[in-house]
Amino acid sequence: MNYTDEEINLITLYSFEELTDAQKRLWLLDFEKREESLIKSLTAGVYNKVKANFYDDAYRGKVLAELDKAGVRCVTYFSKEYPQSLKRIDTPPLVLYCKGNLSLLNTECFSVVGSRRTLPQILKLCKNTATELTRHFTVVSGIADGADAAALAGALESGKVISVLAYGFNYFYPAENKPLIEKVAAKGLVITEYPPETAPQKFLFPARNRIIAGLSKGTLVVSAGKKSGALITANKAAEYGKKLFAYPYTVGVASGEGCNLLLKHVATLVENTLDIFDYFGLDFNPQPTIELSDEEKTLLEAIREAGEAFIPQLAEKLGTQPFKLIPTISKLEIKGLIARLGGNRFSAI
Amino acid sequence: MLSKITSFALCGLDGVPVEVETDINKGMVSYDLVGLPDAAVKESKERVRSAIKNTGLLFPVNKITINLAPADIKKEGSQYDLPLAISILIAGNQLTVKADGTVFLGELALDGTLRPVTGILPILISAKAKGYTRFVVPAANANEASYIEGLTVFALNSLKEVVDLLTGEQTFSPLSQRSFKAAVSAQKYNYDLSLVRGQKIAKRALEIAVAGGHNILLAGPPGTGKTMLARCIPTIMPDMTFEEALEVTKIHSVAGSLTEEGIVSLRPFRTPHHTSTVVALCGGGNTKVHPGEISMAHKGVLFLDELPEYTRRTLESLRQPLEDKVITVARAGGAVTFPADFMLCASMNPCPCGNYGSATLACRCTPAQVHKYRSKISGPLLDRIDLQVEVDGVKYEDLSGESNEESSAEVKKRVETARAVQRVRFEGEGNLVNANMGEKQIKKYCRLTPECEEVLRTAFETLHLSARARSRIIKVARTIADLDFSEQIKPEHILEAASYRSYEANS
Repeated sequence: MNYTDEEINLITLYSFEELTDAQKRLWLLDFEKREESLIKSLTAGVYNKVKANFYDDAYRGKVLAELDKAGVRCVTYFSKEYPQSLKRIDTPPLVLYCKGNLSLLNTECFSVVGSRRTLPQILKLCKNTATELTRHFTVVSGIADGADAAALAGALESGKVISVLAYGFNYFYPAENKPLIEKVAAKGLVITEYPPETAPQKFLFPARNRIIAGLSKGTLVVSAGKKSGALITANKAAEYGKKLFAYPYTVGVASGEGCNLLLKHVATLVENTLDIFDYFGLDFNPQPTIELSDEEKTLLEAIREAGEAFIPQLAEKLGTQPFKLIPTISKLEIKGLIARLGGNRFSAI
Repeated sequence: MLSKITSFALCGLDGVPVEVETDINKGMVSYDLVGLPDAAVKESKERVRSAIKNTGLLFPVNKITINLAPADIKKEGSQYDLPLAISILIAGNQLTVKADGTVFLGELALDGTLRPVTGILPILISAKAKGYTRFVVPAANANEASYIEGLTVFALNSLKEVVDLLTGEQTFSPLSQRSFKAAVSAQKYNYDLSLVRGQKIAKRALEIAVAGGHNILLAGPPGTGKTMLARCIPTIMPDMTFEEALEVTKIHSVAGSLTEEGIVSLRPFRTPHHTSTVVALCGGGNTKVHPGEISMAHKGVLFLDELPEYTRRTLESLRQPLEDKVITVARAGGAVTFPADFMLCASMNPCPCGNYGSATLACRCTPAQVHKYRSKISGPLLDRIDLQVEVDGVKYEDLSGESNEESSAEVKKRVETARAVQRVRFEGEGNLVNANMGEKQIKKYCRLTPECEEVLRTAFETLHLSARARSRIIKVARTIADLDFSEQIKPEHILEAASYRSYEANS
């Protein structure tokens, strides 16, 4: 990979684990001041290590070679690929370690975030929304189970998808999502501000959320408990003056309390992707309506009316045997109009 | 003088004739028992001595040598007491009768009464095949011994009676043959489907599973009646034929778990606890190989409650018997094959806390915990469970419908009709049920119309089914079509079959 000198300076600086984020950030000061103030801030031990290695070509070559070998491409604050949107936030990451399609960094982004514990029907809705959002946006999210994974899965096919990690590329967290991370890297883009050897730690996640919020034009919160990390992203987005959207929830659903809180104060209510596109003045042709038989219509209507219902309840309502409904239920499920919630309970999407 | 008496040893489920040879000579008083006797057989000496004395006869005070032939088979169990006693009496000239051709089996009490022994039925069956027709067995084994025709079996109470029988001092009438039908009607299941309220979908799935011989997994929150449903499975299975009952009784006889009735006429229902070891499940033992739970469930139901709680090793050990319907247990003493043609019914909670997907209670598990819990059951095992059904998470009280629950007898009728259809279909092919179809038979008997192919294809794409789910769905659809009296598999059969796979999809 070819990097400019300035880029290499930053990459090298980031390779010193001993430096704090604030110390690394001093590099953004004027050319004359930066070395002096950095040196001033260092303790003797760290100073010696940095001094010995910083301008050492062998050391620099080793750092770059290791990144190359891992297939990691760095985009620094001084690179031309660096996303303009991130330059406008208070603490922009100086180096973005990237795997995948770098051109996505400067596209119009929209983030979809949510809780790990999201209701199954909301997961399906989230996935559908993410798919539709890719018509105008690149979908940005984290990598956790639940809402994040659903959003990534929905956007994956179009390739317009960015996943922001809160740790280095040497790690996979949660471990089950390793295949997903690899798929996103292959079709879209995975980025992180941490060098490969940084392990996942609790406090890194809120910091990561600022990148998700900063990259995006707007943020959709699909689910959030009272203390959900999705609310941190939402707070950051609001702080940066980005537009917030949220799904509405019925009273008493724990995974929706955060969403309703946002709706009360700042967020715009979203029922479908059209609500988001409308806000930005983008056009959207919804997918052609799915043709339904009379049987399917009656059943879907019954499920819609109940919100969510068990098969025996539906059978009782429609005056039939529960197992006779099963083929129609399967058809609706295949057509993506209802979601299976467990215990033979279904909900309309 | 020398005497020879016939008895039988058990090797797995087969009886092997054993000659008890006794030779009494003058010389130093001694008692030598050779021919690989185990501890229980060696100890028989003291029982035999006391029993003979307390019957009013004399235990010879001479040099006694007893050989159990063939000498290379381990002799285990207590059934040699009676043949030993008779053999000693004849050799000691206290009984001057011929007992050739009669098989003696029985344990002796010190006072000379006969105690029951295990494995009578398998021994009688093997002995009959080898041409033996006259038997003396303990009275307590009479029921078990009376189901086989063409044998003369005397069921006696004491050594005294046996001696009297041989000398002709008293006459005894041999056992009359008992009818299997009477035994069947005498035994009743304690459960009935009509006792389970609601759960129509799970009941339907049970019907399909039994009709096609499929294995089934019931998943649902605690307290929704999974165990109760499982216990009803034998009640809707077709009645056992006499041949099946004999096969099952053989196993239970060897395990020593026969009831008073003497024959197992009801389909067994076995519920091994989840702490069970591989040996407990598959069979084994140090010298004598005992049948495991899967053999005890032969022709019946093996119910594994809380499936993920079993150790992985235990569960994996089920894979091969599920496929082969037999289990071969190899031990140092030799390999024994037990039949293990059982229907597997398993139950599990949807997640460790049990509330995943519940309408009213919140699940406290993290996604990783749920994932870990479910992944305890390996793909290859799930592969062999054709129906994966969720029980309704709704309380029956929440439904206002009038309660007209079908009884097991009504469901059983439909099951029997579907089984009859399958018997005709697989005539001459050996496997009697849809679940046992191989790829070749699926191609032959489950031809799909283009419409069905299309339904199956879209179902696969949208529901993210694995490739191996395909043949499972087709097999289940075949059974649903059989229950529907439909020669051709229709799209609705495929759709219904596709809905019974909840735990494979990435839910």
